[in-house]
Amino acid sequence: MLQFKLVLLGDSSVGKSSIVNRFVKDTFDEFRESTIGAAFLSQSIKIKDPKTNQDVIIKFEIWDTAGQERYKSLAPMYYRNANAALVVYDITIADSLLKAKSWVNELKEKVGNSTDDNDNDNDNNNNNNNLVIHLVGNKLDLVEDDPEMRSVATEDAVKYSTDENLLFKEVSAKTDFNIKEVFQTIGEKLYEIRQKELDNNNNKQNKGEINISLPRPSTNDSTSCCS
Amino acid sequence: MKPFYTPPINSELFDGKQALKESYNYEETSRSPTSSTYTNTDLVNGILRKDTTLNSNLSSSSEKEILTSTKIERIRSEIQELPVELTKYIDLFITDLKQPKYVSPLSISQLVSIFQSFYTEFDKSVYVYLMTLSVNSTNTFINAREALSSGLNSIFARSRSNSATSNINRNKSKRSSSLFSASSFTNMNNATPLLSPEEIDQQIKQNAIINVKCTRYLELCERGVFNKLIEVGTSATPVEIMNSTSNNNQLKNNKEQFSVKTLFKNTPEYIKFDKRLGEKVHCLNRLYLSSNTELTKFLGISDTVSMDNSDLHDIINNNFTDLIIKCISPYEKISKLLNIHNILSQKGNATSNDDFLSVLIYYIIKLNPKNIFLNEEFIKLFRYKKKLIESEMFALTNLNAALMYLEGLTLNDLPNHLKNNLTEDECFLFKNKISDIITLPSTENTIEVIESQNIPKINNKDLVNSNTSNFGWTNYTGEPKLIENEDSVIRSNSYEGIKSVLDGSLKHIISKVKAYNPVYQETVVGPLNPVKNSLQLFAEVDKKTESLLHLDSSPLHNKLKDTKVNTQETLCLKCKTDGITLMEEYCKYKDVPFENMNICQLREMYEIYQKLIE
Repeated sequence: MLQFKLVLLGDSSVGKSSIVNRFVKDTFDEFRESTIGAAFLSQSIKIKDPKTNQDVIIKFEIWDTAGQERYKSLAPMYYRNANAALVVYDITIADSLLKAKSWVNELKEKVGNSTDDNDNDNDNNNNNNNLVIHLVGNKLDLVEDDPEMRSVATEDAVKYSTDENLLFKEVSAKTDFNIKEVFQTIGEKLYEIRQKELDNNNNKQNKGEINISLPRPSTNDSTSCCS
Repeated sequence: MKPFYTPPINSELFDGKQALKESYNYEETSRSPTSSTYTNTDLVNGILRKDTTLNSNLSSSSEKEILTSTKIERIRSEIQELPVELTKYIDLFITDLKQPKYVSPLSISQLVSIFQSFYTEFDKSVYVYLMTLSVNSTNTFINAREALSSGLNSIFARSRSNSATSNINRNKSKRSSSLFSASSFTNMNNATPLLSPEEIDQQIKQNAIINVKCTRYLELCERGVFNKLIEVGTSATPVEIMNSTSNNNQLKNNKEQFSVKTLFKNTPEYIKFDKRLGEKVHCLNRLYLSSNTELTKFLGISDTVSMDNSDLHDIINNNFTDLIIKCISPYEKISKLLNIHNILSQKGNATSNDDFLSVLIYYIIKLNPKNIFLNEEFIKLFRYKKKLIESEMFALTNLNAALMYLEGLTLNDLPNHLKNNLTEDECFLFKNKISDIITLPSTENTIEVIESQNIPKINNKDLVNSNTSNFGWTNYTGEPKLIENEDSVIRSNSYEGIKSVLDGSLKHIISKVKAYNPVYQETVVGPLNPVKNSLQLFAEVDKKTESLLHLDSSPLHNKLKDTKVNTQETLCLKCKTDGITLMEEYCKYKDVPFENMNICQLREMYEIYQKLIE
């Protein structure tokens, strides 16, 4: 089982937690896990390995953040070491997309910096380097009832996402539209990245680019027989 | 994919050759492995049996579900105190901590590093301890155990399993990989019995239980360590550690109640920070004492959250008091914090973190818990890193965020009409962020180094090649300077020549030889060895190396025996004299990278190695 940390970002009224609640409550009762409040949830999903077609279980540790402007400076504490970020905006409020964009910028900036500093083959760095950002436009149900309410055009968001290389979907937490798919996509993306990392590491070792500790029979702790 | 299957190795039905054949044939697995031809009915039976195994698998997986909830609680409640063997380990750690060996007082980050490495070591020991118990109680691998107590073969087998288990400790945050540990046991017997699905299930279950127990023991360990600190007085804090002469007196006099504060004594920044934060919160508390609604407005708490509930207020208050005063260990403190989270989200209806963080800040202002910052830092630093994950980490991050928010409040953030109510001193307090004035020393780097580092085994290397009071916990980067043991310095002068020839790695080998202790009992208690008097240990080490290495005939050694050197020196010298004869060969491949070696060279190295152990 693979475990990933996913952080929720977005303005306070865009429905971050309702998306997660919908996701956790409606999907896979078999995987239901304990939570504290609704701010911290963990939930597993099944994805298929594209090569072997086998089921892989992916566990999300979902961290909700406080979206109010006054708490903005506290966000780095939450998205530290995150593998994925779900940036949410409200498609009926134009301003919320701007907030979302600022979150995306902050993530790219902060996370980018931390990887430049040390170039080690450290897990954390790899994770940060490959932070998966998924942009989500919530409250699609409102627009379906009354198209007038929409104030963020889908095309704009799509364009922005393509430019910034983000995943994107419009969803409705209320009607459960696209919710599962969002997490499924994130899961698949994370799995793909993890596989690539493994491949890279293997390749490097095969080429002898790294100091090999591979041929050692068991471990390199002080009790093992070869040094 | 077909699962492998054979009967347990101790079953009468077990037949090695057959087992290998059988393992590729799942349909026939549950039958007696002695018959090799099958009639139709047999096949049907086999298929039927297969169905039943599947069913039983299903049922056992549902049993596992039960295991995760009620059973875990039962197992946890059954363990109320640590077994004597493990308690001794804690005592030893505290004794070691109180040794007057540090030149300068330990800063908090150094102290934390020592604690964290101790936790890691303790974790390993618990795991070994529990594995041993489970082996003894189930008797499944009784043969392996017997084989273990004799012969060099078993020594290596044992060491392999040892490293395998410690490997699991190191690499996996959860040691649920039962196959790993199972295979380490099979190694011992030089046979490879394959496990049936039932057995694998059993193993997984067993391992799950062991994991639960491990976690529980570690919680108890944290409690034990800090209880012990109260018992012996907080003179375990570094200032007293320094004063070797007055140590004992202080020990008796120091009956003061343990408080988190004493641990931060040598890093005054934390205490200052905490004091200022306390003042700030107190000030806010005074400003908003009259009006709850104003405070909720200030924090932007939404209407859906129920705030005017005196019951809730009391419960949270009690929890905070418990967290700060009653609870001693980091584990107990964090569980109180989790409690607060649960209560607020269930009763207070603070479902999302938008609400939750505000509510948490609200209660901190309202209740103004004393030393909350120090307590928060204490949990963060002294809770075993590997267990401070998921919800615990989240709860702690929330508390941290709340405190950082309060810490960062300045005059600009306060509403105008309240600013006028501030006294001059209070204005000064709100002039700057606390973090702008006081910079806390970073502890993260040290801790991360520790996490990624292989912490040496306690009982081997460090006992052999360093002075008696120095155990493994101090082996981390940024290690405080050790007071040189003058005795050993003087003594080693006389054979400095020999010493210079040898590099430390020979000692390493000797220590490894020691680790391949042939007596099973000893190996099992191995990681707990430091509970013994270290001198006694030296004597033991000495005896064993003697029997293992047969070095007695060395002339230099005899000469030295005449001069009545103590056991410690004898040991060292024996290593050294042996080393001289092997030295040339031994160093032959010192600078050759492994990748460049050909098979002949490898073979030669193996031969040297053989000589070394002879």
